[in-house]
Amino acid sequence: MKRFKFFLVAALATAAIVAFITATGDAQRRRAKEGEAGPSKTEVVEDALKTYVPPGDLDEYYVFLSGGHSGQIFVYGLPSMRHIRTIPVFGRYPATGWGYDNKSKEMMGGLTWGDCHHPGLSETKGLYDGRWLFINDNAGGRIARISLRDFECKQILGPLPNVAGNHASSFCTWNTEYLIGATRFSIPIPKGTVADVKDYKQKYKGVISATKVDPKDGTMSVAWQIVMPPWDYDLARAGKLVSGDWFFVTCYNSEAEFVDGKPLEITASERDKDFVIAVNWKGVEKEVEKGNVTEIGGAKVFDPVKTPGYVFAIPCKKSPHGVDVTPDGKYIVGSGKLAPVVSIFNFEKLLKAVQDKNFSGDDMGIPVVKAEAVQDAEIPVGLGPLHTVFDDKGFAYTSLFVESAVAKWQWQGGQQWQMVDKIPVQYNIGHIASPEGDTVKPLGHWVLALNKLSKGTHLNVGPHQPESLQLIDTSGPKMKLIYTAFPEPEPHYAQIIKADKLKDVVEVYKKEENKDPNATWDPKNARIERDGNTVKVWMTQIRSSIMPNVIRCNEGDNLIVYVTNIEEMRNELHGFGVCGYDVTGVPAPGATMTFEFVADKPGVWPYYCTNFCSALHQEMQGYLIVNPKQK
Amino acid sequence: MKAMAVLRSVLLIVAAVLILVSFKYPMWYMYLDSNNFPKGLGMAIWATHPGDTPDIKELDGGLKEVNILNHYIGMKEISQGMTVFKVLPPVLVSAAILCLIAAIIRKKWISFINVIWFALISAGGMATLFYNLYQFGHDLDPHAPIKVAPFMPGFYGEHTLAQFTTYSDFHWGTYLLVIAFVLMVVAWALDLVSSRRAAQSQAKSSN
Repeated sequence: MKRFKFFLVAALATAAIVAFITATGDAQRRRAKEGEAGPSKTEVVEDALKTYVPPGDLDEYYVFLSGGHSGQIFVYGLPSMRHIRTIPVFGRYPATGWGYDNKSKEMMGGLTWGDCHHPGLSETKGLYDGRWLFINDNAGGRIARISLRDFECKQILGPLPNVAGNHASSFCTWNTEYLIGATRFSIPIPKGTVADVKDYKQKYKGVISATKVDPKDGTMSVAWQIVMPPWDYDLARAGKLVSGDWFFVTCYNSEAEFVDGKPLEITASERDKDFVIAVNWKGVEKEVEKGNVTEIGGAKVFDPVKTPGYVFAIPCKKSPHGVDVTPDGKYIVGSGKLAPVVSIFNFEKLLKAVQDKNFSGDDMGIPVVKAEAVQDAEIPVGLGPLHTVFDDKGFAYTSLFVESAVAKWQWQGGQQWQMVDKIPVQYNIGHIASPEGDTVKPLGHWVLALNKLSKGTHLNVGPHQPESLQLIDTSGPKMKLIYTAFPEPEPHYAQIIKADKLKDVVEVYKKEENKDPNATWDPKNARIERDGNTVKVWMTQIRSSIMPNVIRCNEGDNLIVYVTNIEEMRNELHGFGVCGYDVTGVPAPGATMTFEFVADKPGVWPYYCTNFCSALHQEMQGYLIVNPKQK
Repeated sequence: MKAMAVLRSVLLIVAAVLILVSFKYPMWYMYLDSNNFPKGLGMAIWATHPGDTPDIKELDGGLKEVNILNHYIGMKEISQGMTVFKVLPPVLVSAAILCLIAAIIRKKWISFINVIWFALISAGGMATLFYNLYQFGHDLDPHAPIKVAPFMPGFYGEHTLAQFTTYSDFHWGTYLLVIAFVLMVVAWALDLVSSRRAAQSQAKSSN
């Protein structure tokens, strides 16, 4: 019967997608064909003005989009939806030289790609404080920190021990004490241990990982981990205010099975309910301080089965994906991606159930609270609910993947737990974001739909296509879709912060803050020194010359070039690219970059400023002369 | 009579102090606005050195940027090494000392010399500024990458130069000197008045 229900839902979903795509694909053409009237001109003009930001004017919000398997972060402006910057993190980016100079190469640790999903802005008392942006790498099991002072990646932590597929990351606790991370693909731990999937239930383990953030400088370190049953942990969200000491992680495959030859999509969809895992992190922290941990893979690992009282499972319909917490911290919203509802759990009732041990039993040692004891409502939002964000008027917005729509419902006030409105988007929305919509004080007005497919809603660009970002105006009684942008693959989630919260963003590094001992500030001090087979070059760049402009060396020499951009003017970026060599970079004004490479190709190789800088930019060049080996 | 003597001394001492205080403030400044620099550039000249205008934090750039732009057209660098910054400070200090001497010695000829000396300094200073600006705009390196016709940079008020609009004006460094000069002239006038009165009263008493 359960199986039948699942197939019914799947069939309906497929039908809905097909119907939707054929119904609204290329709206313009369809309108022309059917002679149907489009929106009136006044309406178009009204909508256009909502996103129009005249040249020279600034957007009201920054949007930080994860770049998916591009490994980068994209910065957009809202409401204009203009792409302003790409911040390279896990992938090489010749436009700034990320992944080409020594410092970034060392940070990337030999990997030149990552899969970043969930950006998280640092918070103080549940509000964005504008200090750092954290971003996970699902593939490499890493977390990176970007400073919002200069929009540069400062640290990449990981790979996290014992965690395979760090998907449920990097969600901050409400004072940025910890960043949550969790295993999406359970494995035998520590990493490197081999056990066959036949022994999946016994030998494979899930891990929830807490990363500590230094409140002064943001330095991240692995704090502790929780060993869990071999379920697949999907997403997480920290509590706030009353629930500030807790965080929540969803899981699917609570069947804890992985069968050789049988697709997980079947085995993991057997049960009617999976779990939202509730973790009292303050409690776990205390146990860890007491030393109640085992060391596995170099991490302090806490076992909630041995020490009960801190980790609980809440049954949630069905293969829940996103878990979100209302701005007041009182309700937990579980989105069962294979059920047409979101489930609302009451945090205070959860505390009581835990206190009264109101459990229906345990699953693999984790106590399961009785669903009816904690669940306040189920809201029939539609097919495939994934994530929920909030506005300033007591409404919540849930993305519906299967239905390709956004559902609006009321979580606070009058019609609590009632559906209010629904709007279709093109197509297959994943995450959803709103201005400061996951904080204790959402700002409202906009909802951003992060759609997975752009299918035909832009000029044809061949088989590889962008995704679609759609801006919905939520200020009126009905939601209104007013703009579509097409980002590079592939934003999963976004954080939207009021622009004025980012104060004193630097555009030029002051000389005093450049701590590089090889920084050179006067072209007169630019020089070359040889030490055995190593040739060191202290280089300066300022409009419009590179000094030294001739480097002589021998084939096979190890070259180390310290390039300092000595400009003090914003946006006076100078590139350093060497023809024929895999060397490129763009030091910012006041920054020093170090490039190390072997001069293995004899000949004369021009190097030049790659980043347009001035009227005499073309003249900003030099020669690397590599004398061939004597034969 | 006594009140007059005290007044002239006070005026001259204040003038000396104003001259010294004027070192703290720019004498002259220039803002350069263009579409390349939406917030503008600002440079200023003190008696002792060239530098950025005090509001540099709100601007796109200052003296360094002006020099970078100037080097393309072969203009000389506006630097601390210029002769004027070696000559002007000791000359102004000499004027301040002369004021103090005149404050002590109550003679109309010394306050007259004081006025003349300062007038000469002022005229010389203006001429130097004018000459320097002229030189900067005309003594261009023939090997410069960009060749422009020689020009006179804006001395005062609004001017246009290529895509730049420049605004130049004097500042407190100069204003304080002007006030000091006025005080010196008043002191001299007081001396003139009191010496004439003295002569009259002498003539009366001899009658």
